[in-house]
Amino acid sequence: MSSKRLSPTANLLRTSRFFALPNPLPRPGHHELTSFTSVFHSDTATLPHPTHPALATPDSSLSRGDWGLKRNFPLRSTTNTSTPTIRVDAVDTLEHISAFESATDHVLTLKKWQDMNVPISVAPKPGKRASGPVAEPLKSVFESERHGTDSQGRQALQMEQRWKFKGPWLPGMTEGEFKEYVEKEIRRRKPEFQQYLRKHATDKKLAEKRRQALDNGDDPATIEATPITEAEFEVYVKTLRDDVTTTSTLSALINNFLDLPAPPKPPTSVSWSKLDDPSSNTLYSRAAPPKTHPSAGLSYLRTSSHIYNHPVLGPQARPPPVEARILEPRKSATGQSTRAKFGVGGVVTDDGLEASFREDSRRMDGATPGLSSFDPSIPGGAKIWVHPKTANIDSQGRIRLSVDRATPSSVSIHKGILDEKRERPQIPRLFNRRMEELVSSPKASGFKGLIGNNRGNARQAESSSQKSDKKVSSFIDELGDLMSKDR
Amino acid sequence: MIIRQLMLRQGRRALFAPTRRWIRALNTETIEASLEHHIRETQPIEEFVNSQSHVPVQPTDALTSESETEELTTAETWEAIQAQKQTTGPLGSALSHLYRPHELVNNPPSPKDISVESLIAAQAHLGHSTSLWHPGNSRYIFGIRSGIHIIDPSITAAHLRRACRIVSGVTARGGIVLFAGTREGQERCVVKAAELAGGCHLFERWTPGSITNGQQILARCKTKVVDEFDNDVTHLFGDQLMNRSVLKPDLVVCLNPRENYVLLHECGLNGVPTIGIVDTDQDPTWVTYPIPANDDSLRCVQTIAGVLGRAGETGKKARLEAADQGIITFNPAERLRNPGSRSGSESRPSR
Repeated sequence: MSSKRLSPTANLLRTSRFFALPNPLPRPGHHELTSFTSVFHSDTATLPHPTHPALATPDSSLSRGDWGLKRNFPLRSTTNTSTPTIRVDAVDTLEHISAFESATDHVLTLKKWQDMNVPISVAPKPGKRASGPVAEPLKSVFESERHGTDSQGRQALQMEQRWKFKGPWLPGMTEGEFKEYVEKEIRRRKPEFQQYLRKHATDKKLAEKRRQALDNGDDPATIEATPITEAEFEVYVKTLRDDVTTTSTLSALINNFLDLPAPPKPPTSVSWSKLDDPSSNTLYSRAAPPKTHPSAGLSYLRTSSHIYNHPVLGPQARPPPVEARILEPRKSATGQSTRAKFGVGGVVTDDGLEASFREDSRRMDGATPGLSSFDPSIPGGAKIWVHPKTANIDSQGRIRLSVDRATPSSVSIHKGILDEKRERPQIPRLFNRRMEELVSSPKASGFKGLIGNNRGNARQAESSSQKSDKKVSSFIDELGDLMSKDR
Repeated sequence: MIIRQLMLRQGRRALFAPTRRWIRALNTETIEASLEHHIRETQPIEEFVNSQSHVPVQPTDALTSESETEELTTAETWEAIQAQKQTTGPLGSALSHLYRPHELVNNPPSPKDISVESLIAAQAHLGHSTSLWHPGNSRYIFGIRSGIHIIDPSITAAHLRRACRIVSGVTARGGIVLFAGTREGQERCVVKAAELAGGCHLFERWTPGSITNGQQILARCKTKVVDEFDNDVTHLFGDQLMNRSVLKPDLVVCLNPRENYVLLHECGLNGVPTIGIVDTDQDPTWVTYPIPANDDSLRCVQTIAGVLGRAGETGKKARLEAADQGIITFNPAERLRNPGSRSGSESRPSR
């Protein structure tokens, strides 16, 4: 490619790690700065998704402050942490300093998510609540019909399943941005679009002719494409332009040509009652298409249908639970809500269990201190064990997670507090029973080697067959004592 | 009950477990029983062979035949481990071309190790923010990336090689090279370079006027006379050194020219050539022989200082080898009369 035309030095620079650093993404929440968001805006808050790559360095270089950048970084701020990762805002500034900060927040979030093993599913269509009764099963973002990485696959993909488009998302543009887009991007593509329209008109004319031939009883395959005349084309364009609705053919052609995300469809007369009719809109028509792949690199699992195998207890119905912080109890200063808010793996999520008057739910709440109301006496804040259920990334790049409360048994298994029956390991008992069978059998005298192998002190004694009978009998007594103690 | 439902409710336990038990019941001889049978058969044969022959056979069953594996002593275990290590040590892949940061100072690279790759690895190509640039550096700048100027590493390599030739040329002719790097962290590489090249080092503040007003500032400093083999022969010259002017360096290598403008200016006034690392925010005319590179990264500075030190070392070695063959590569000091029969001598400062 172009690398062949470049000088060797330029090639080296192109393949260097510094040049591999991607440009930072725009800060999230930049476009949606309304009066509501500006209230909760903070410069130092952890962003909903990372915008800069996190850098790490080997220990030998870390202790020297060498991060492979313009200058060495101060040791005090980079080494006094258990996760020495940084993100660099500016390699060099007017003040002759490099602006960097710790990237621990996002690095640790990613680590927690890798521990939680939650697959990322496709975001639900607008108008549906993720926590409500979901009609259709959740699908992984890595399903082959959705990835759309090859060109054929992309063509075949239905509009609603795509997440990446060449064109911009028009509803998210300001007036000025839209004007600039029209003048700078679209205007120069006018001849190309004329060609595209002409091809479309020719195809349409051919299809019409073939349909007529079929009606007349001729073979449609014999009909050849004839070039469209200028007059015909003008008439056709005029008919296209007459239709000014958003569902017109021309609008679909423009969308196809510019590869724009589908615009939100207006509600039909049937769906007027429900304004957010899920069937009439595609996945990303009301919200912008996502900035990254819908998995955002958080998890590459396709499913959560795998069984966790406990080393002692065997396969378990649920994976080990994770501890969540109760960020907002039901009764908070702002009022009483039906759901508490949890912080799980760096993400705020709603309690999976709604408050109700049912006996068991009240009992479960009572068992968890700090859940129904704020309890300042709990050291380190109130926490609760949960099972992460599903997760998806919305078009703003935020993680949406839903959780279930953990069952008491899975919590006690995770903590290693097993119940009385299971506390004693099973293996020695089995071994004892087998030993009992062996020893009581008439062939027992032949097992002196085998028995001796299992008990170190019985090993030296046996040499001749006369002695061995006596030894084995004493050994049986010993074993009997042991077993009676064991019982 | 339909079997399918039985399968669903009871699963494997209901259907397959009885079958397994039945299979086991068919097998009349268990593994233990067959093993016991085997031992019972082979033991008399062993005993018979041992009674007939004076060479005992190895027992088939170690446990029943009372031959115990003897315990190794600690020393024997250690030797066994060493033998094991010797056998398995050279196996596997060998790691090479590893970057070990301490080696840049302890064992610096030589001029023949200069490559564009090593300079890029040492961050030599990272210049300053584009707003800070000095237009005099435009010929060294490759482009802009992430808001900073990128210095062309091939030009850096060429200028560094030229500087190496200058340093080795000066040391080959018995000149005094002063390595100056006054930034924090540069001390060790400056001292090492001076040590290799047999020159002088400066890692603290340059006392202004040490060259232009050296007669006052360095008046109390000692000087010494050395012969062509670098042996101290000061005692032969009596008090001839008393009335001599103070020494000036023959070459100054400055690793951070921005902070050492006074030093470079004095060198310029006195005709002392200078070599300096010139970043993109730096006027390249301050030094005689600029090396366009990143002067903020310690790794880059250590690489350049190490390479120049090695160059000085080769020059010094060449001079001593020539002296061994009776060739003297420098002019003897002027106005220094040798009381003995020595033909050439050299004067050096001592710090």
